[in-house]
Amino acid sequence: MSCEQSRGAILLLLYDELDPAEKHDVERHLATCDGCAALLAEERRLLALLARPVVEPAEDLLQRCRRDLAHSLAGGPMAVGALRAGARPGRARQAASRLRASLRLSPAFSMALLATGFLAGWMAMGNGLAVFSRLAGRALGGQDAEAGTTSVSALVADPKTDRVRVSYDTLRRSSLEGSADDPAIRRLLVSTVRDSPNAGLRLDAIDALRRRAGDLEVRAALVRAVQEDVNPGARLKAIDALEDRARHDPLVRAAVIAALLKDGNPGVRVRAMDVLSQARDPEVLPVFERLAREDPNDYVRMRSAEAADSLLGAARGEER
Amino acid sequence: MPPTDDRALIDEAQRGSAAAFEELVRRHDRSVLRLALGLLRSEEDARDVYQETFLRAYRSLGEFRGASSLRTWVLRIATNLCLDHLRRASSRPEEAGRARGTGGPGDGEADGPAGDPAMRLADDRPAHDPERTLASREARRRIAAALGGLPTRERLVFELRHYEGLRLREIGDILETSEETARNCLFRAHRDLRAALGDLRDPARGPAAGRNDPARAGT
Repeated sequence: MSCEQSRGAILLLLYDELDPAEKHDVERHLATCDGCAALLAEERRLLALLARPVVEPAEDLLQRCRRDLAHSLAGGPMAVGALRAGARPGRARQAASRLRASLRLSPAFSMALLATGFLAGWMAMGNGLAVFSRLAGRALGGQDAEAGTTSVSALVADPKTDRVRVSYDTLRRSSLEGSADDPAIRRLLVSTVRDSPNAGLRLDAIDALRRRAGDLEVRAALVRAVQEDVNPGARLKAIDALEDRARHDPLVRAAVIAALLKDGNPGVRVRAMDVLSQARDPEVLPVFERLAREDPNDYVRMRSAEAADSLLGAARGEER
Repeated sequence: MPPTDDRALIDEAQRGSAAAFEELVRRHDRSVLRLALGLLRSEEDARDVYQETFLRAYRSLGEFRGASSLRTWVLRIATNLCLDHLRRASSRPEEAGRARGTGGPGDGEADGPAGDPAMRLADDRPAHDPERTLASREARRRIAAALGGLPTRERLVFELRHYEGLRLREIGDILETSEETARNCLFRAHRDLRAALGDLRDPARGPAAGRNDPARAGT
């Protein structure tokens, strides 16, 4: 390879855009040519300077965008067009028109969004629970449809009868009672898991949903609890509730593996390990082996070594 | 977290699952917003692009067949919207300067990303050493100016390859051009960046590099 060819390929080498043969040729040239090696070093230095995006969206801007989108999809009063009406009337009208067109084009999906409390998740930073509860009110045949600000105030689950009582405030406190399979109750529970500032309520709601992880919305809320809930007890219970799904659902398994690797609470890590052990997925073996070497907690290291041995033993047994 | 496939979520969303659509948006919306902010230098325009991108995705999801990844598909929508914005801006004299970027004389920090309260320079964090912080801010300002001075197409290819990690082949698809043209844009972007930043040393750079850092690749 000539120096001219090498110079053309150095950037592609750094971006991993060369096929193996080209890469081999460039690397051989670089090993023997000081000039091209210096150019490689210079490009590396430049890329290191540029490693981080120079502009990173602020978190509050991202959250505002998500809320705007949720409103737009639901055709709410704060749809993007209305938000910008003061600044650029022409554009606002166009946006509103586009929005109406989009909602006309997919009425089934719009209904699905309303029916599944899509707004609840996206408005979590603001008054999501209030909006969610209004939607839930509509789902209950119109009762509380005009209610104002609301919040779930109490939750009682009876494991023997598998029934749940959810009390929530509208203009007056209301209650729903029935199975967590009831869509309206399930939505309230999901919104509680996701949005309630009260850790006790979140724990109870996770408990009540533990046999409903087959539902995608429930599963998404539980996965998010594993990833984001600030309360270790809630994270642990969410892992429990997802136990049966870890074997077959890659999203769940990924969340549990992430908890095993990153959760700051050793108890949560151990529970994640138990769930993954039961899933008997050979792909987690390297994770167990790594933790057996590196986890800062003695007990977690010991249990990881046991889990790795058990998984290896099971794999050998299947081979026989 | 280990990589997981969007496919299952797309299937669910195509069957009407709001939770699956929400999860897909959450997976990719930061990239869309970053791209729009980087190219348009305007919070308001970036918010418009974000909205329109996901409204279009929502309308068209039923037609998505997976010929590309969802991420590429969404970034294609966002890219086209950004280009539309830039075309419109260049036809409006009062905004043409902004659309050209911050590389020109008089383009102080107030016009660049650091001047916008909704954006921040990615490395603009407090540090223990004020001198180093100042030097770091200056380095980031120069990098922002150099990127802002690139022609739109080169800037776009660079952003998509360098920060969003798309392959040149995918970028060629997005821009409805060839991989070779995308590659040449990347070469030109690097040539210009090298010229603008050749003397710059990054005083704030630590030992760890970003996840998309190609400086870690290669030999």
